[in-house]
Amino acid sequence: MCFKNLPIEFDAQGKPFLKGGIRNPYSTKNAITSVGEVKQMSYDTVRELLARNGYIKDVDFDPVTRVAGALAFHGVADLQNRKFIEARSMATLFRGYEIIMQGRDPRDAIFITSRACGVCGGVHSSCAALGIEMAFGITPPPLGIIVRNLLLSLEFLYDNPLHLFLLAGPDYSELIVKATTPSLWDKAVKTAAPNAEHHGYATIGDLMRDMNPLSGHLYLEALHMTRVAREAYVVIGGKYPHPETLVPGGVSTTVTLQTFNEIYTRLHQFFDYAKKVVTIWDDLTDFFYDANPAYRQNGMRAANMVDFGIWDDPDTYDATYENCNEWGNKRWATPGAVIGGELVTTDLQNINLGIEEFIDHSFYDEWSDGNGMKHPNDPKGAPLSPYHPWNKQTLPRPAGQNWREKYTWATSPRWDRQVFEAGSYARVWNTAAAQKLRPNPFIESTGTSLKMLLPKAAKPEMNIEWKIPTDWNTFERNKARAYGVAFTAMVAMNDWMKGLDLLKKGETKVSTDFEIPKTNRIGVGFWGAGRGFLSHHMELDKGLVTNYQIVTPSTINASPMDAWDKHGPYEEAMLNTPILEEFDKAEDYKGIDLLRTLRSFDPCMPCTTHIYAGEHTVVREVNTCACGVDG
Amino acid sequence: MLVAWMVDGMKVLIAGVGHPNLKDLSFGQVLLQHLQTQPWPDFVELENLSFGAIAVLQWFEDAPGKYARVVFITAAERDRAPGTLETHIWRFLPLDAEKVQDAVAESVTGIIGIDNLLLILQQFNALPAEVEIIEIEPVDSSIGFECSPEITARFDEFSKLVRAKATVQVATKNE
Repeated sequence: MCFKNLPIEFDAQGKPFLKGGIRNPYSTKNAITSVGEVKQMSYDTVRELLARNGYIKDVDFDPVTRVAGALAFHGVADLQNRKFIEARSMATLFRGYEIIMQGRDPRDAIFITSRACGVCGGVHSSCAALGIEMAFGITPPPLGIIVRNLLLSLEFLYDNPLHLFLLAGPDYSELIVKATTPSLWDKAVKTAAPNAEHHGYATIGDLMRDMNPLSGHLYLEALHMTRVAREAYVVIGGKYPHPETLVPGGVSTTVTLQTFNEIYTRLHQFFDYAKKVVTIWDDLTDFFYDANPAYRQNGMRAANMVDFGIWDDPDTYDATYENCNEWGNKRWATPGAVIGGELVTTDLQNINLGIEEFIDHSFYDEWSDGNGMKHPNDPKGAPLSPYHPWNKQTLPRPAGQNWREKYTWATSPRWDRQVFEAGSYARVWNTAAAQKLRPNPFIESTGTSLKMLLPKAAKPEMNIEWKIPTDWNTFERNKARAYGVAFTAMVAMNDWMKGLDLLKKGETKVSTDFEIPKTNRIGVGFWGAGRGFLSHHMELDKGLVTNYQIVTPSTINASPMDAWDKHGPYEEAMLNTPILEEFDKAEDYKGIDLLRTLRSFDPCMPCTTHIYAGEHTVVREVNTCACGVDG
Repeated sequence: MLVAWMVDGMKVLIAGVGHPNLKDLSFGQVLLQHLQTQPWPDFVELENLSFGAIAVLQWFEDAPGKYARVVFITAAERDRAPGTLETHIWRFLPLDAEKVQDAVAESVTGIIGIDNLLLILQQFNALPAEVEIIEIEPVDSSIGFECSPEITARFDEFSKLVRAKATVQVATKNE
């Protein structure tokens, strides 16, 4: 029984059905129980405090720098009690892909939705292809699935190091630590790094120095590694970040032994790099905890996270919704919903049934009164919410910002009406807890940890283990993401070996022929981005798209309050963050604790926000001034 | 005035920069395609550098010292009169590290633009000694493969200007 709030029960065979005897089962007026709810003062109380007390300060970051796209954050900080008393996350632009896609040839989705992001466009292409092949009823050949898996891994090997050392990394660099917590820096230069033999830094201070932006070795090395991953990607993707070779039913590129060799020469560089990345973030995390245990509170929230899993098994995946639980559970990253730290389901169908999107505090019109809906059931006959993406319509309603009512273009995706977060770490957590991994030489799921064997390259082979943490906070997000780099590299190695085996057997087919069906169909791509959870739900009729709904990780994490006035993940995490920065006067306050917390989610807003202006999409980006900690 | 000095084998690069398919905002790419249909001296190369600035940096790093000069062709919305043409020489002024870091962060997250590109290329010493920028203020920046009729009508003017910037000093030296 994985649902606590949705009106869904299971029969003796485990088949979900709508609970009887409830007059309006999906009404948002129905009470819910939530895990990890954060309370905050009323809007009026906060305004009163602001007016009365000099140490209550408005804290606005607009934009939050080192984040792609339009994320702004408003908070009110109580600098005397060193905590935040109000938090609002804002997506300041509208994402129009749901509208842009209407009436188009479904194959266009692969290329159009890719443009939802300039960082991880390929994941949208793949996700669209998965949804289309489910709607079309086609299955890719094994090598097509392997190539798609490899593309995803290579994209993550670009994306995750980029975040760890170019975007979030500077928050832990000498420059920033010295400026915001001088006592911490003094301690860092005197603290030996436990993993010095693996990463090469004798002290934490040495490590932080090499994380300095533009000049630090770790920063420059990450810049270089993004190139290595990109080079491997374009060998099979054609180009990056918007690949040209993804099609429904597989890929359109020809792969040979040479292709695989070219990928391997890049991939194997990540074996040693992963050893370094993991041990650096282990040491950084431990250092902050030891220096001040209050850092464990930084960005803390209940461990509620959902992920669809990724990297399909070529021997199981058939693209059908009917068998989604079977092929989902064979993915290298196990699908899962974790609520309060407990893995409550790994079945894709249950994860799908639990997803709803609410717009109570977003600039959209309601499309449902909680009753009638186009799709009361999923293709297996299980009950769907009127707020489910297959029933959702995107009805933008621009309005003035009002903290009590509507204040953002992001929506509020919820699972079983619980606030959850998305991240690359969710797939690490789910896989560790689920113990469903196929036999392989590199990765083992223990139920409480993920053990990995990183092969010998220039450095000897190394065993590492990510343990499910007791606290879920800013540091654990980054640490799990670092282990995610190793996980990704080893999944890629497994897929690389499988692909080579297929080539040896002469199974070189990479795509399946298809015709566009003219009947009414629905499909969904269950996939993941570098920063977690990604779904494309679609409905087709007469060969064209009639509804297309994308749920992205940053929409989830940046979500505003929902129908029950529960805060989104960024907001919750901020409200739980103590202010540990060192400053004498309020005007010297820079907000590093808040920025570390926000960036620990790897926020990337292009997938959440775009401008739609009727006849055309306007892309306009500006080179911003430094509005972050140094602003 | 640029002071051109080319050792044997060095090249001049003409590079288009900008997002694709946005009419005049894609001026760099569209004019480049037009220029690629014309004959050029051997020492001139034409390249579309409409990619993330880090990828462009790494492209330059693959051939260090290859170029004596680069002429960037681009468009930017800077509140000038539509159709305004401006050229300027990159002065290699001292950089603000925070602005460069922001430029890197934007570039690795998918943003393409001449401002970030120049900051990053200078920061990592990837620019040739002579850098000139030819930039227009868009008349129309809506979706479209071609530039607006107003800008397209001036392509010959722009082409002559690019040719002059790319070759005049070198031609003088060769004479």
